[in-house]
Amino acid sequence: MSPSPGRHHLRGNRAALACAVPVGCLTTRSVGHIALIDYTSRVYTQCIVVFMDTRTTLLGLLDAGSGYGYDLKNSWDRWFGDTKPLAYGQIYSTLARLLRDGLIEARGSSAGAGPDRKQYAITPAGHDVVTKWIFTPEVPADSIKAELFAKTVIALLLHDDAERLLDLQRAEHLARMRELTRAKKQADLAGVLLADHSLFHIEADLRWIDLTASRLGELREQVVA
Amino acid sequence: MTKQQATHSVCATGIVDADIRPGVIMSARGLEFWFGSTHALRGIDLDIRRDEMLAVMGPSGSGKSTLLHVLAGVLVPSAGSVHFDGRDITRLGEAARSTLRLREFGFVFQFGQLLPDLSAVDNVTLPLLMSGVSRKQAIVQAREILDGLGLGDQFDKLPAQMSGGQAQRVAVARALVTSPRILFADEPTGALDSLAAERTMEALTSAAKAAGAAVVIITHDPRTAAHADREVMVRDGRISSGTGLLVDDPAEDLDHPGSAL
Ligand SMILES: Nc1ncnc2c1ncn2[C@@H]1O[C@H](COP(=O)(O)OP(=O)(O)O)[C@@H](O)[C@H]1O
Ligand SMILES: [Mg+2]
Repeated sequence: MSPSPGRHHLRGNRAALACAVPVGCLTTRSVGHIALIDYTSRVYTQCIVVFMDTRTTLLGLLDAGSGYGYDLKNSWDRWFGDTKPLAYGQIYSTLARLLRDGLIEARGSSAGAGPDRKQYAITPAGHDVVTKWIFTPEVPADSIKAELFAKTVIALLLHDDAERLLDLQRAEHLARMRELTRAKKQADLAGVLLADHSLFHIEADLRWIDLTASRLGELREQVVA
Repeated sequence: MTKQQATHSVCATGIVDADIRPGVIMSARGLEFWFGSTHALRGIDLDIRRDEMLAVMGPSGSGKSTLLHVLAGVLVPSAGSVHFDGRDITRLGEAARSTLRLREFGFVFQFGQLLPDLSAVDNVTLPLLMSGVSRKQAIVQAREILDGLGLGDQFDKLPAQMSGGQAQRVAVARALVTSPRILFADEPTGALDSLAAERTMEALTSAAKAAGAAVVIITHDPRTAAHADREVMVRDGRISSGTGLLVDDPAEDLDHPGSAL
């Protein structure tokens, strides 16, 4: 399944994602009263898309230092280019939306200059959005790598507590594993095996979280270098 | 002096956390432990609910086993207190702690804990005989609990004649046959494959529930931890994520551990 290029990639919060993905990842939080088989058949295939909150990640890069669209594009390519390539056009359209929403402001440009002549800086409201994003754990899905990596890098760039975001995410993953483990008790073998599949995937995420947590010092050095 | 330690100094007068908080069976505060120059525990605060299963996770060498041994009265901490059943067990002498362990606590370890020359039933009767139960009665109880753990056809097998998972379930039976208030398990599934680990955890969970025991289980395996109601992360001798203390939970939470998801 190819990453869906839908608009929800540009939307910052989970509620927006929930609307963009009609059934799926987000409803799993309340799995207690959803039949396990219901969860597994609907959600599993929905959650494979690579999801990354481009808008907030870009905002986070600006939070780490104001700059021109060109600087942003460079930073993006360095850290996230492999995971999610972004063209100049997407960067400028995202910046326009951030401006409109009051999360960034344009500075030091002469009147009538194009977007590439403007220097952009984050606003206090923008900073709040970034911090909230960093410390809101992702719903464990089969692939949250891009988003989690973006949060980690942005947190390091901001000299914020990257370890804490990984701890929050670990707790979220373990809570999800507890839900699935409980659901297995009522499930038939097919349900058990499907839940096991999800459990192994979440466990793989956890191993990545632990590994990243133990290498945060190294990553910090590279990120702030 | 922290606020928590201040609370504990009241214990000398007989007022303890366990009385103040009815759902809590064990409360550790300010635990420090030194192995020579190694600072293994660095100020651990932890509450355990009467009917919960608590998973203790964390990297190897982080102090999990040390914490378990201190909670269970095997090791005496360099500083801090462990309140259980109205008293600070760190103040008890070795003989009193030993009796406490036999009567109130059960233990399961990673492997090598069954006596190799004794059958499953004989291994399980051991702690009962040590507590003064008659041999006849001990055998009845041992068979009953083994049966409940799906080992009805393994009574006379020696540990070497059983699979790793079966042996662990015998160890669970032995730990729970005395109806302990708390079961302490240190990596009980660490040497097992996924399926055997799963079966062992299912058996341990339901047997502990039936026995009415709280469970403190050390594991670095998230699938094992997922059987618990809650987890704490130990890192460098500290509880660094998840919360050790039961501060913000109203009574409803105490009655339904793990329901707050
Ligand atoms: N008997 C001992 N003597 C000296 N140091 C010890 C002893 N037991 C554990 N340690 C040290 O204490 C720290 C915590 O160990 P431990 O509690 O066994 O960790 P874990 O169970 O999380 O792997 C480690 O640094 C370990 O090397
Ligand atoms: Mg250990």
